[in-house]
Amino acid sequence: MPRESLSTLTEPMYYVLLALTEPLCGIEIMERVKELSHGRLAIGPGTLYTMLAKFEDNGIISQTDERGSSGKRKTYSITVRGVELLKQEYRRLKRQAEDGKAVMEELK
Amino acid sequence: MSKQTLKRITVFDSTDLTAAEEYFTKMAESGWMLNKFGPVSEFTRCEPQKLRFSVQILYFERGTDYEKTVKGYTELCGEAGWRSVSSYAGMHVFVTGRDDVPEIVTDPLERIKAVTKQSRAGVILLWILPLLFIAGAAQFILSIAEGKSFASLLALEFPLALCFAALLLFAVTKTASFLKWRRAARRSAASNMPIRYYYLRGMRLRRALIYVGFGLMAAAGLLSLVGVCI
Repeated sequence: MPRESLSTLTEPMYYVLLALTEPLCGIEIMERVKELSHGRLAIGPGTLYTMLAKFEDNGIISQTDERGSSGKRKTYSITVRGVELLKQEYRRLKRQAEDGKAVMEELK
Repeated sequence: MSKQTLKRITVFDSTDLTAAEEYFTKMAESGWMLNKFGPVSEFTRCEPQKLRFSVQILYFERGTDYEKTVKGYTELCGEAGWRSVSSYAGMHVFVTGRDDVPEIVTDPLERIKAVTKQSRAGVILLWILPLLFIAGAAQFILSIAEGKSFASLLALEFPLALCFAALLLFAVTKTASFLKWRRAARRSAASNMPIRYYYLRGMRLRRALIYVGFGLMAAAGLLSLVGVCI
């Protein structure tokens, strides 16, 4: 399968990677994303599955057969490459927020 | 003793996902639970109940281990509260009795991509079918232009022309319906609006046109028989 470029992340992708800074299984990822986004973002299992497959193909996450805290097998965790991508995305979002700050102050 | 199983013709296109969900929901409310999904679906008698159905197209790139991927997909959906009921031709039917379970696909663009890829291959094939009869149709028109009697064309040329017309109607209807849906879906996705798929009413109207096409083909077969007898 050809690798897709993941230079920028969508909002759900960003939150899934944030969640995977600890090993989690599928359903735990969905719950953690909801928790991190304060209930704002809900990811469906189908969307999550496709996303995890894409991340795994690009070496951003890895899958293990260890049991997660819920006792389920097939947990995922972020790789070193994934952490770099997450940090890159965080810096990009931070820059965007800072760039907009001055403009938003004037709009008040 | 009342019937315990029921069979219904359920031919759904990739753009009829909502129509399919609506149909299975109504059947469950009437006391018939989907058991097996296909061109002829099987339902089993159950207590009338309010259920949520979700029909998803699982379309994967070449080289993907399809069996393994479907297994992983349905397992994760199961953990989230969606039970896999049945599948046919890449369309998978899930059901849940809970209101708090999130939709299976929450990224509308992902669903559009799957539906478009699934539909495209079918639409291309549809246009190949009329081409098989185009020579017959052309011959029929030429024969009429040459002044041949209609009765002499009943055995072969006219039935072939009728088949061509029926298959062309079929191809045009399906293609127009898919293109219309894709344009509306892209507009909705661009404005962050919900993607609309065909509801039961729209699907039934399209199906009526397709039945007309099949009727024409059946007529062609009969005429051919009549022509041979004459």
